[in-house]
Amino acid sequence: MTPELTLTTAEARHLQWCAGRGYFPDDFAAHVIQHLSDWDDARPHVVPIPEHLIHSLVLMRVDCPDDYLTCVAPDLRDRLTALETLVD
Amino acid sequence: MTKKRISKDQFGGLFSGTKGTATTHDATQDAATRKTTAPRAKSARQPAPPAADPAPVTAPAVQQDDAAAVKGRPRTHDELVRVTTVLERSQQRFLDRLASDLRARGKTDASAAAILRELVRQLENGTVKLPW
Repeated sequence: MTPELTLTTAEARHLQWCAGRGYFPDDFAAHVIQHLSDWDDARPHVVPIPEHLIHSLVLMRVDCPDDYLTCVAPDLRDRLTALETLVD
Repeated sequence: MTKKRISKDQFGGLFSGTKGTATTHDATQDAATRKTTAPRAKSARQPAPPAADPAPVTAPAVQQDDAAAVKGRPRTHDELVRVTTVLERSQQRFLDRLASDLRARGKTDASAAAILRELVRQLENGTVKLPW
């Protein structure tokens, strides 16, 4: 079963901004943005997240703990850390 | 096809060819092209004089300025200039985190730049003092 992340397009754009600053994995943000590119509303959408992207998130937490999820809102941070537990 | 010929005339023959390469200047080819396109180009230029009314040109420009003023940074009494600063990575992280926290607390226009501007303002007022 593929892990899923529920988020809005605004949250996805914010993750892209974070990725630009080095606070979030680039490939993960690009995947989410690409998946939500067809949507332009405020509703949350479910995005399937491949395991290798979750691994890159885990890798960031280990390698760059100071940058890891900086500027990500607490509720989204909780959803992302919950994803990590699926592959730990 | 017709549009391409007209645009070539407008740009004086300097345009990329259909394969994306710049075409060389060929007088005979130009002459031949002029023969076929001249009447069309002339007819394309004919509607230009009535469009010389200045009113429709200036009105949208003013509207655009107003829209930019509403959408962009808040108006200040002073001119804004773009300045590049070199920060330590941890300082950038701190500013981004602070701006993010402020936005979460409802200050929607908070950004690292806004924080720096406010900091300089406080320094000017003497509210914040430097240690040296």
